[in-house]
Amino acid sequence: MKKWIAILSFCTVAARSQAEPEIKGTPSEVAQYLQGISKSVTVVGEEELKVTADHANVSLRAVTESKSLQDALRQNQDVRSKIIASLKDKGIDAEHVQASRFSSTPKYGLFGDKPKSYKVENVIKITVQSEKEFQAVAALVDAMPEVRYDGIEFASPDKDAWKTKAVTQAIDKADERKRLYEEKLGIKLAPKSISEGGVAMQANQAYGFHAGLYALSSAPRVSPEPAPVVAAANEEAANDFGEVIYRAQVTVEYTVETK
Amino acid sequence: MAGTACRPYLRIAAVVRMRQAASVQDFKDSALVVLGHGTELNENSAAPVFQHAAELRRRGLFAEVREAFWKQDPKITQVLADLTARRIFIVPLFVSEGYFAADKIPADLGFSSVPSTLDRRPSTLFYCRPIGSHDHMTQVILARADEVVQKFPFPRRPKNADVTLVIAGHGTEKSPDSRKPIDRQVELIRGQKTYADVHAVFLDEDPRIAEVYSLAKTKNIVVVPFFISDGLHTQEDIPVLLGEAKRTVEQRLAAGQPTWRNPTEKNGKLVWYSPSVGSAPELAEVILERVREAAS
Repeated sequence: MKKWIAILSFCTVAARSQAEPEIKGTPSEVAQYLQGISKSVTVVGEEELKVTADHANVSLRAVTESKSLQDALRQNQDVRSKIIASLKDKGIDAEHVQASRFSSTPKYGLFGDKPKSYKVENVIKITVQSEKEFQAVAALVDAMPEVRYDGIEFASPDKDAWKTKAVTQAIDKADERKRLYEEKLGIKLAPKSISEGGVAMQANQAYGFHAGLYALSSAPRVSPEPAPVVAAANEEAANDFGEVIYRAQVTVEYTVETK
Repeated sequence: MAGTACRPYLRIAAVVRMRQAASVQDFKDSALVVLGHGTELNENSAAPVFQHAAELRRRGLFAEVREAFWKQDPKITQVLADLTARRIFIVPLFVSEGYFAADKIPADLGFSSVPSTLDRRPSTLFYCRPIGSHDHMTQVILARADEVVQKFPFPRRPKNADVTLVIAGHGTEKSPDSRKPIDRQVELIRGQKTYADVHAVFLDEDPRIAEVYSLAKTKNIVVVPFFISDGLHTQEDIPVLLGEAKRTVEQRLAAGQPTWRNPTEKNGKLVWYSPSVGSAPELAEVILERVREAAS
């Protein structure tokens, strides 16, 4: 009999030792216990804002080459003057045309230290505000062998304001998720840190405009570098010029606090 | 009565002790070389090799335990030249039987295949299979997955039945063997039916890491990187591909913080991301298993 009592006592003790620990006590004691366990959640809030582009900066490259540097520079100047004159005829003011980067490269032959020729390149940025103006720029590339198409960047008014708006709305989205967790899980989340992942900008061009650009970029004299902004065509776009997408991401880390 | 009932257990225990003792003695005349890829570009990449070599050295099972690398010092050729033990076991700490672990390194060392032996008097060299293809890696992956949700509950740890386990590997379309160990682990863990589902994703082949959100049908996702070192891929590339902003990852890295916060909610799902399998303490056992296989 004593043996059975001993076995039963042993089994009871063993079973108790295997059981899950039970948390007992007053709410403040339980809260104190839970404080010792580090619990946190990180929420990634994202926002994407599509803004109609009101202008685009088209980059053209004027490339001239001559045996003399001075001649190459003069030819390049002539090309730029022709560009400005041609654009002016088509209603684009000279103030919308800016020479932004300049470079000259001596070219050497197999023998000798003296350059065989000089290549002068000048990047010209033209601000266009409609498809008609863009077509006028495109026509220059077709008409002038010294002019190469470099790329296009769409832009919207109040760029910084849109960026701020995207970030603010990304934070709001993270906050929305936080409130959802608090409500569903009966917890309180306190923000511990916030990290802004930056705002990425992407330009989307509308269908009609894309077709024009495609024809341009497939022309034989186009620069070998791909156009930097050639996004997927959007046939449903409301306007025929293009749009800018602002994508913001924020990462908010919350710690769990007992209510 | 009680005494006679205990006797068979005592006998079994004694046999186990004898076997353990025998296995310990078996390797007392041997040297173990834990072989890593290594790189001069990232000093952390060698850490798991040093970690497991130190643990196995501490256990005192081998006459000598050495670390060796293919691309950094101490180079495997140097280490082998120094060793004179009767048996030398080379265990590649690689996740797959890919180009380096199964072709280039063994061939350059003179081995005809993997695994195989080489007579180099007074020693016999054993080139073992890489650890990543061992079935015991299942335990390592499960331990990693369990550990991360245990350590970072929100607000309590999810049940495994509500979790999709994702094994993230490098993969490469150049070598179909590269993904095999991961696919095998997916199969093994799926067979256990403890998780809602198990998937493999890769850096350099399909399905890609960013696809975890569409692959997982559960709200909770645990991602275990099937990499040896906690280096560039696991600390930077994968967190970015999982959706953390590159800038945030870089800031955390510069501050010496983990680059992924556990759990992080993204696309309406909670994602836990564990450290690499390579630094799991359980890996020392897998190394020993590879030695035992080669010795048997």
